[in-house]
Amino acid sequence: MKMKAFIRDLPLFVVYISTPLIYRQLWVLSAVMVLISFGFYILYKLIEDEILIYIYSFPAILAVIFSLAYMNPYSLETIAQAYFYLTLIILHITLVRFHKRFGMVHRDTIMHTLTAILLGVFSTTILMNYPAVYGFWGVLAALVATVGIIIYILFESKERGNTS
Amino acid sequence: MRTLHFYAMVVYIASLAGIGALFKMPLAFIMAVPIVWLLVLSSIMPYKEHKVERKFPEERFVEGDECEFTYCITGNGYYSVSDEFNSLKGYCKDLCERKIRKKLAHFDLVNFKSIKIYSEDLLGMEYSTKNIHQPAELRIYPRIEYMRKFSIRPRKTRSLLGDYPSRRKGIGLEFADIREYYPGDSMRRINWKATARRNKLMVNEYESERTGDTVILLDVRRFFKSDEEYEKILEASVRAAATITTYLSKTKNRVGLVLLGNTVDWVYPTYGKRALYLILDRLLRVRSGKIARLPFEYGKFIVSRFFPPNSFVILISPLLAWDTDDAVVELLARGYDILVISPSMISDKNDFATRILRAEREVRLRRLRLYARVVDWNIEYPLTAVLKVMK
Repeated sequence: MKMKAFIRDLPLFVVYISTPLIYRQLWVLSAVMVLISFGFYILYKLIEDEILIYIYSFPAILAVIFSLAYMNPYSLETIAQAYFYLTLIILHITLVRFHKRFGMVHRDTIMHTLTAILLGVFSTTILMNYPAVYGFWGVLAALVATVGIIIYILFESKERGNTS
Repeated sequence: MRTLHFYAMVVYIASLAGIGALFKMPLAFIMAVPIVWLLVLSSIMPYKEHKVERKFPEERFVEGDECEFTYCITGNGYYSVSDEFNSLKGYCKDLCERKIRKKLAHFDLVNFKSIKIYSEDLLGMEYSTKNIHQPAELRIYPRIEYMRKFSIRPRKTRSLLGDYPSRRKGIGLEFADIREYYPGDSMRRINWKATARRNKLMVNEYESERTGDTVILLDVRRFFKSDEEYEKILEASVRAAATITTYLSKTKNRVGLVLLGNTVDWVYPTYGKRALYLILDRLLRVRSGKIARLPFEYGKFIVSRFFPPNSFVILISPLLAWDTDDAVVELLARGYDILVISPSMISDKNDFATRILRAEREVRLRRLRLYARVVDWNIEYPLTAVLKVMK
C-alpha cells in the first residue's frame, strides 16, 4: 500500500525537488510556488478533498514556467523540459484522482494522457516552425485559434453524438 | 455531465493563458496546449454510460454460508457500483462480469431496492449517476443445531394423536403400567412374564401420545448499548428459537411464536413446514438498533389472549429485566406450562462485579425453578448439549 502511494506521489516530488535546484533563474518565485504547492499538498493529505489536487498542482506548473522563464521559450530543449515536468504533474493528478475514486488506473487512461502530451509536443513544434505564429503574439494567436477549433470540434462531436 | 476534473483543466488553460498574457511568457501558452489536447481526446473517445444487473444464485441462505454475487456491467469507462450489501469499482470496456464472494456472517433479511451506479469516461471528463431499480430479497437464516430428541412433557395435551406423552393411557410407545386383562384387550398387549408371576392374565398399559400446542416466547429486547454484547445474546436466542422450531415442526405438534423486541409480533400456532418458514421469516427481523422500552407484560398479554391455555410455553430470555419473573408466575397461574431457557454470557471471571451478577442471576433462577423448569444456558456451549442433560 505504501509502495503504491509512493509511486503515485513520486512524479510530483521529482518536480518539487528538481525545479528550483536545476534552474536558478527566478528561483525565489519558483521556490515560493513550490512551497505553496507543498502546503496545499499537506492540506490535501489531511482533508483528502479532490479539489485540493488541482489547487496544489497548479503552483507546481507555475513553478516550472517561472524556473524556465529566462531560457529561450521557442527552443525545443525548453519545450521538452517544460513538457517533461508537465507530464509528471498531469500523470500525478491522474493517478491520485482515479486511484482515490476507482481504486485503479487503467492502462488506457495513462496511454491517452501521454498521447495528449505527445500531440502537444507535435502541435507546438509545427506551430513554432510555421512563420505565422512566430513571436509572442503569434503563439497567442495560434493558441486562441486552436482553442476556437477545439471548441468547434467539441460542439460538433456532441451534436453528432446526440443525433446518433 | 462534466466532472470537476474537466472544469479544473479548463481553469488551468484559462489561467495559463492569462498568466502568459500578463507576464508575456509564451511558455505558459505552450504548457496549455497538451491540456487542450486532453479535452479534445476525451470528447473523441467513445463514452457509454454504464448499466448494471445483479444476480445471486438463491434467495435463501444459512448464516455462515458464502454467497456469490454477480454484477453484469455494460458500458465504457470507470464505474463505481453500490447497493445495500456490496460496493465495487473499477474499469469496464463494453461488457464485464464482476463476481464477489461474500460470507453471510449474521442472520438477516436484506432488502435490495436499487443499485447506485456512477460512471466516468476514460479520461474522467464526463460522468453520469444512475439509480437502477432492481428489487430483490436475500434471506439469511440462523444456523440451526441438530436436535435428536427434545423431551417436552406438557401438563395438558390436545385430543389428536401426536408426539407428546399425555397423562391419559392408551395407544403409545412409552410403557406406563400393568393391569388385569379385560375382555376386548388386544392379545398383543399381554405381558406374559407378569401373567406367569401372578397366575392371571396381565396386560401392559402405555402412555397415550397426543398433540399439543407449543409457543416460543422469545424475549430479544435490547438492554445493551454495546453492539457486540447485544449481537451475541441475540444470535444465541434466535438460534435457540430456530432450533426448537425446526425440531417441533417435524413433529405433529402446532408451533407458535411470540416475539418481544422493539414491538410485539406473533405467529399463530400451526403445523409443519408452514410453521417453520413463518417463524424463521419472522425471526429475521428481530434486530434492533434502539434500547427497548417494551415491558414483558405485552408478551404475557399476547400469550394469554391469543394462544390456548393448555399450551406449552418455551420462554427464551436472558432474564435481563425484572418484569419477567412475575409474568412467568402469572402465565403459570393461567394454566400454561413453562420451560425457561435463559442464555447467559456472564464470564468465569472472579472479579467483584461478575460475582454480583452471577449471584443475582442465581437467585432469580432459583426463584423461577420453584414454578417452572429452567435451563441456564451458557452460550459458549451448544444448546443441544445443555438440553440433553435437562430432566
